[in-house]
Amino acid sequence: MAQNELSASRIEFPVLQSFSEQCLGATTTLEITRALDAILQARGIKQWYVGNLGFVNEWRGFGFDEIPPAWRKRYVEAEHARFDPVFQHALNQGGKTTWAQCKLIAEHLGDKRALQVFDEAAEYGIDSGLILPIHGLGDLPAAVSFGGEDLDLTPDAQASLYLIGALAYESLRRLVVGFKPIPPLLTERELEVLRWAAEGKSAVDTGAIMGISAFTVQDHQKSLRTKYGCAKMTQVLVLAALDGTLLIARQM
Amino acid sequence: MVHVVAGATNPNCREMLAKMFRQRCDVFIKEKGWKLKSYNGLEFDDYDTAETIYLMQFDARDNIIASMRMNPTDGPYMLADIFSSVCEAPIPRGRDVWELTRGALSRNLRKSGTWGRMQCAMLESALLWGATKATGFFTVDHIMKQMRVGLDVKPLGSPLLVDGEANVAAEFPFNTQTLERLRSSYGISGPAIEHIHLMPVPQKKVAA
Repeated sequence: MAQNELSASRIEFPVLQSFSEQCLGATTTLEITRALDAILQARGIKQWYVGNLGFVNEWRGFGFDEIPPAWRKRYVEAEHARFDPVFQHALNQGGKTTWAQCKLIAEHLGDKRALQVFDEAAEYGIDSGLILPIHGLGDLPAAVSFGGEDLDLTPDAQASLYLIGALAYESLRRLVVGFKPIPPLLTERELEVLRWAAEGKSAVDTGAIMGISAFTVQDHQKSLRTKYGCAKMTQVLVLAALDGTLLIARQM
Repeated sequence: MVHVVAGATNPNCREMLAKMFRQRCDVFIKEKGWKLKSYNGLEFDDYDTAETIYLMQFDARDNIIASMRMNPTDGPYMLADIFSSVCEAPIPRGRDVWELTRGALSRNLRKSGTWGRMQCAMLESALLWGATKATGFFTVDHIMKQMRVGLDVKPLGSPLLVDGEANVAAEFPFNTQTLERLRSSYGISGPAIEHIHLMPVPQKKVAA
């Protein structure tokens, strides 16, 4: 199959420049998604997603996409997200990469269920793409994903797409979320310790619940105090309640 | 709180500058593996001049935790000297355009909001000195972080994939609106700058 003519090259600077200006000047999300879609469709990228992963429509998540309806239906019905190496890579704080790289790892591991996702996607005309995982301070996991058929993702093309995706995500985030205090990024263990501290549990109790020593719990508490710049756990809890981190901890 | 030090050779801040050059050696050479020259564990180069303005943040024990270098672009600067080929838009230049380089933060504080205070101090310094624009060669990740806290970043060329990381020349304006957004993003209500150490003016000899 012939490669998309435009997909082999980087996105030209005037296009990047114009998109950047549109992003910064946009007053609605539709202006950004339309401009993004126009650039991507012209390069054979017919599927894209920009937004949070797994928590869409929750209290502060957001997501915008252009996904073929039939593929979306199949993806949800088959619960592909649980096995899709690209989705899981982004969810687990991986770096920027191509779908081909994720597929290679799945092949190496002999992960048939993961490979099924790639095979089925190809049936819907989506066989190549790239993913830009986004892990902001205290933010829900997010990503930008671009896919299409037989895309030739040269290093220059990848770099351009990562930049376009970054500009799109951040400008959409500005319109949806605004500029609010950015909570520190906590580890899963710290979130768990935070949750039990909010329940009034002591370090000994928390250690017993989590199956770790009270000293380790105290280490996590110290890290929480450092990250929030607080002297006491009570202050940490107040700030975590205000910035939404406690809610995330309770949802775990 | 953040200290602003004017001049790489500021005689009143030798100890602070040495701590910063040592931190840069630790972060950029030892940790990140950048191919830079060091001298007795200190990293500095031709862009550390009497015109350079530095931001430094110290902890309660006076250990340096964060630093940043800001150079007016009316003299030699890295984007024009080294990365000009990546600029497709006119290369920004002028006394009021600052190049930002060597942003360093202690490893254990990278998941905290510490850098926010540095960024606020950067904006405060720019407004104090009358700078209107920042420029530099940034990773896409860095650009995302800047946009997230309110800086209106615009690319100056197509990005390049360097060691698997997309990098691009970019610029963003310094103004009070961006400072407000930054403060709001980090929940900072007052000034981030604690001290400004200006380069001492040479004393004229008084005739006997």
